[in-house]
Amino acid sequence: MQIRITYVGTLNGVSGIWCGFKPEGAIIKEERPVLYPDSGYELEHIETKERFSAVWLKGYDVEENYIEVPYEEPTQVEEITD
Amino acid sequence: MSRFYIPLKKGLKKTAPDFSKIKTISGASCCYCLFYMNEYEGQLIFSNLKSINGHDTFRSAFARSENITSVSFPELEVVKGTNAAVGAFSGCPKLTTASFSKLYNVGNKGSYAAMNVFFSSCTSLQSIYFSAFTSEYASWNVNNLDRMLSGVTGCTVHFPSNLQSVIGSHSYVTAGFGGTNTTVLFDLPATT
Repeated sequence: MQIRITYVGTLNGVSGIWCGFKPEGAIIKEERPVLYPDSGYELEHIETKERFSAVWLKGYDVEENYIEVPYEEPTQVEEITD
Repeated sequence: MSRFYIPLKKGLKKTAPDFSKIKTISGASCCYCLFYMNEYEGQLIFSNLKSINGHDTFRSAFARSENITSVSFPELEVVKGTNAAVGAFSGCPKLTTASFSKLYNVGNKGSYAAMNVFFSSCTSLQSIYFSAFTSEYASWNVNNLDRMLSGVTGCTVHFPSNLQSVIGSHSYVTAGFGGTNTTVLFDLPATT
């Protein structure tokens, strides 16, 4: 898992949110740390067992509260061949 | 969850059927994987489709379509039903743009995962336009867009300008709908 920063602000007068990168020239009003799992995994809270695709770490919520568990996309299908 | 499908024969048809006569897609699983792995080329326009309604009804319907370049739903207003359109266009490697000009109600404040992973692994996707989201439905709509951009890098999602105060702090928005380097812009004309 890794933490990437989401930037909230304006660019050329347009309000925007940039996830994982800071655009050149933007006026940034807020930075949000977001915890992402590695590909093929999702995050599970170690106490509540609730699962997330990503977690915005706020307040006392920290990376150590989560573990990665395998995730299977609900679109995966199995092929029948001749 | 796994699901069996029978792939279409290669090289049979590259021109998409006329979808303009379709006004409603409803009924559980009615179009589940219906056009999975098709070879249609270019733009898909569902010019008169107003609603998608039902459990799994449009799920993976056009997933893994290798030559679709854009998709447009100019009249679609409602997508509801649990998993109604999960992964409908996932894994379409040439898809670059998608627009929903009138879609205002995703999930109908009751469905779950109606458009989750809708565009996952669409590696060329650059722009999505949700022009008609309103402040009344926007938060619930976003609840139904989990991982919409999983496996997608550098896509920009456009919303009406008045919705930043409504969905700007939503966790799925903050996480870029599961994509990498997602941009979310509130640059479309304001709605209600």
